[in-house]
Amino acid sequence: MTKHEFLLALSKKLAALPERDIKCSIDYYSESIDDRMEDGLSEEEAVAMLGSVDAIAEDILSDPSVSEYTPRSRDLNKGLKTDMYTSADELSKGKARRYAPRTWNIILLALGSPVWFPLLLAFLVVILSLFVVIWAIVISIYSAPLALIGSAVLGVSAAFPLAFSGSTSEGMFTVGIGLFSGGLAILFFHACLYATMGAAFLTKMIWRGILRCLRWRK
Amino acid sequence: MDVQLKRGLLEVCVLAAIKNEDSYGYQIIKDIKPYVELSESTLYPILRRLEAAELLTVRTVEHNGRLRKYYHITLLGIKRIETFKAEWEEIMSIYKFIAREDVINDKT
Repeated sequence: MTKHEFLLALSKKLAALPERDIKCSIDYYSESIDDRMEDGLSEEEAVAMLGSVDAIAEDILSDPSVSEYTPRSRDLNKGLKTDMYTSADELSKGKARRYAPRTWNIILLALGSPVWFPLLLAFLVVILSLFVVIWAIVISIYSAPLALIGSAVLGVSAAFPLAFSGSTSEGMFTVGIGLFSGGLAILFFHACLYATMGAAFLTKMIWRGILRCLRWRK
Repeated sequence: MDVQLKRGLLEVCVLAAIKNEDSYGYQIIKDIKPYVELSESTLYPILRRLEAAELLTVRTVEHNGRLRKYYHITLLGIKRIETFKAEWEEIMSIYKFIAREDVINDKT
C-alpha cells in the first residue's frame, strides 16, 4: 500500500470524528511514514510497519480522550493528585467532572443577576441610542431636500396668482426661486441617499461587532 | 501485564523520553525500544492523553520540507516522573520482601 492509499483509507475510517482529530491522526501517521522512509525504509515497508488501517482506526476511535481534549488553563492542574495507577486519561476525565456541572453556572448567574442585569440593560440602551442617533441624523438630512421641494412647489404655485395680479417680475422671481429650490432638492436628495447608505452600513457594522463580542464570550 | 498498568507505565516512559530534550514520535519509539516494545499506534493515544492532561506540549517544526511535531515536557510532566519514581521505590521494597519470602520457601 502506498502512503497516500494508507492515509486515505485511514481518513475514511475516521470520518465520524471532528475534523481536528482526523487531521491530527493523519498528520501523525504521515509523519511516522516519512520518518521511517528517511531512516532508509521504502514507502511500502514503512506503511507495512504501521499495521492494519482497521486496527489503527479502531484504536483511535475507541480512545476516550481523542475527542474529549479541550485546552484548559494551567491553574486547573494544581491540587490534582496523580499516582502511578492514575493514567493521564483518568486525570483529564477527572478535571472534566470537576468543572462541567452546568447547574453550578446557572446558580452563580442567578446570584449575580442584580449586578450584571442592570449593566446589560445599560449596555443595550446605549447601543439602542446609538442607532437612534444615526438614523435621526439621516432623517434630519432628509428634511433639507423636503424643505426645498416644499419651497419649489410653493414658488411655482405662487407664480400664477402673482402673474395674474400684475406683478410679473415678482412672479418670475418667485418661479425662479421655486425652480432653483427644486434643483437644489434633487442635489440634496442624492446626498440623502449616500447618508442613508452610510447609516445602514454603520448599523450593520455595529450589529456585527456586537455579535462577534457575544461569540467571543461563549 | 494488566492493560491499565502498562498504559500508565508507558505514559511515564514517554515523558522520560522527552524529559531532557524535545523529541518527535519516531525518535521516542527508537529511544524506548531497547527497554519496551512500543508501536506507533500505541504511542499516538498516549501522546494525545498526555497533551490533554497538560503533561506535555506540542509544537510543529519544519524538517526537510515537511512538518514534524515535537513534544515538550511541562513542569507537571516532570513532577509526574518524580512521583512515579518515588512510588516505585515503595514497590521495589515490597517486591524485595515478596522475593525474599520466595527464597526462604525455596530453601525449605
